[in-house]
Amino acid sequence: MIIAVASGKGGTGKTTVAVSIALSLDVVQFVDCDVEEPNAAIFLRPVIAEKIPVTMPVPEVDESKCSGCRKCAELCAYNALVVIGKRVLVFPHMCHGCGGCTLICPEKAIAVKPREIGTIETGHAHSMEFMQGILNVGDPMATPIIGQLRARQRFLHTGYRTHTVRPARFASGG
Amino acid sequence: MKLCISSTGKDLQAGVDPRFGRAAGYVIVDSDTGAFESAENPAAMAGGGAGTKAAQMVIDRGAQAVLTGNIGPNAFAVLNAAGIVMYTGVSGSVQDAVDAFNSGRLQTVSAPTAPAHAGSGGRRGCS
Repeated sequence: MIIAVASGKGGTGKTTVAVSIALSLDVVQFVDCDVEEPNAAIFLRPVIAEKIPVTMPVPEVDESKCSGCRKCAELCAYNALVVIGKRVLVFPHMCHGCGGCTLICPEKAIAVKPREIGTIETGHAHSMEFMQGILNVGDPMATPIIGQLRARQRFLHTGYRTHTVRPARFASGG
Repeated sequence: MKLCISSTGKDLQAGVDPRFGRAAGYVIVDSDTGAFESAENPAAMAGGGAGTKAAQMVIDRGAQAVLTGNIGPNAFAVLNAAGIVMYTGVSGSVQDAVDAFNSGRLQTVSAPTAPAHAGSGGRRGCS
């Protein structure tokens, strides 16, 4: 059974409720998906065994191959690429990692390089398996980290799973 | 010199739009001849990245200077890289802005004057 504790408003007690439920159960996997400010660790004091970086693929342009055709900038739905003459400016913080620019480039001048946007930490707290995601301060996109947390959680065994999430991000479509 | 002025309308009588990336549109004026044309802002309603998209348009139109109220960090980075001179704090009508430019009363800026999302209004700008 998965118990998700969610609220569109901050400061309403998601962490308090999630932590309390988790401590009252026997076999629990606790996942703090509130990656912008994961606070459950303050109460659960987990021993972190592993820290896994979370990356997003962002474009890297080989200027010796670029012809300045601008197809990448025209394609980019997030306006993360700007072409000035034969120079391509990349705005990594605006990139959503779709990879479209690498596919559309006729000169094959665009490769992807990983950009670290945060970390996933796993470990134990009391008798529970603990996991949390931490978004780097100033980075705008929380969902890739939440997605990876949820993907990892499927591989761990347990009975109950308690999540805490801050869905304001989802509500605004971010 | 070819000036790009963020504006609320399409001619010299239109007001200067204080926002660069989210401006309603632009009037592009040749300060030597007085000839002008209007340009829509492809990014006025963009979900994100308005500054970079609007700046790309300015570059493509061949403008050499931008006159506006405020300019955000991403648009600044693009225009700066393209060697386009930026003047901020501009107000009044587009004609006033051109006159101020011609009389040398405008100040160039060497840093963004507004934070990201400042011109988008509503939730994004205020959050």
